[in-house]
Amino acid sequence: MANEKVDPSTVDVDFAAEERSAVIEIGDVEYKLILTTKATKEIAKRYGGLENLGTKLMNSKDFELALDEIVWLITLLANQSILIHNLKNKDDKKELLKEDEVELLTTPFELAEYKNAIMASMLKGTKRHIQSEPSKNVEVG
Amino acid sequence: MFIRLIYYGTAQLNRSEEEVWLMPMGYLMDLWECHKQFTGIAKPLMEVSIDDVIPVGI
Repeated sequence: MANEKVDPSTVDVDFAAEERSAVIEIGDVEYKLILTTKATKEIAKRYGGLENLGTKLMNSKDFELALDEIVWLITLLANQSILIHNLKNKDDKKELLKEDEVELLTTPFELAEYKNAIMASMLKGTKRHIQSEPSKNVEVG
Repeated sequence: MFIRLIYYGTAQLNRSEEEVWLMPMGYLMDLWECHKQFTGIAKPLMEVSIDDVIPVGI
């Protein structure tokens, strides 16, 4: 890790994550779903890019497969807020969610709500506020 | 691509690597865009002055 001695009080990812997250309830506990850089990388690894995720989720004919994907995504996105908490609170770390726990604590009826929350967290997580004039750079590497 | 993002975040934006990994994607891209505009690599699409946001007299 670079810059290991960073002062935790300067960490502002929590504030930024606050307005760029969607909230869901799993087993009476609220979790914030956040599309972080880390989560984006994991999704890219699994689906080949964010753009393929919607197709995979919405067109999944196999219900069991769709459930697996949603459980994986919820676990990944909810764990981002726990990781942010752990980064800010080194002495009060929370345990990460596991896919089995999410499977046990949720019902298939909640599927639609979760799909919406996943999509909302994606939209909010990738939301941009700063725009520049179109770049004239050529594509490299 | 992610190596570049981590490089931008750590070397150019002076964040820890862990912090960069846990930043919402759009927030990191916004910070990088601000950095590019500040250093003159990119030109803002629209200039908004503080007077446009907070009316004079407050």
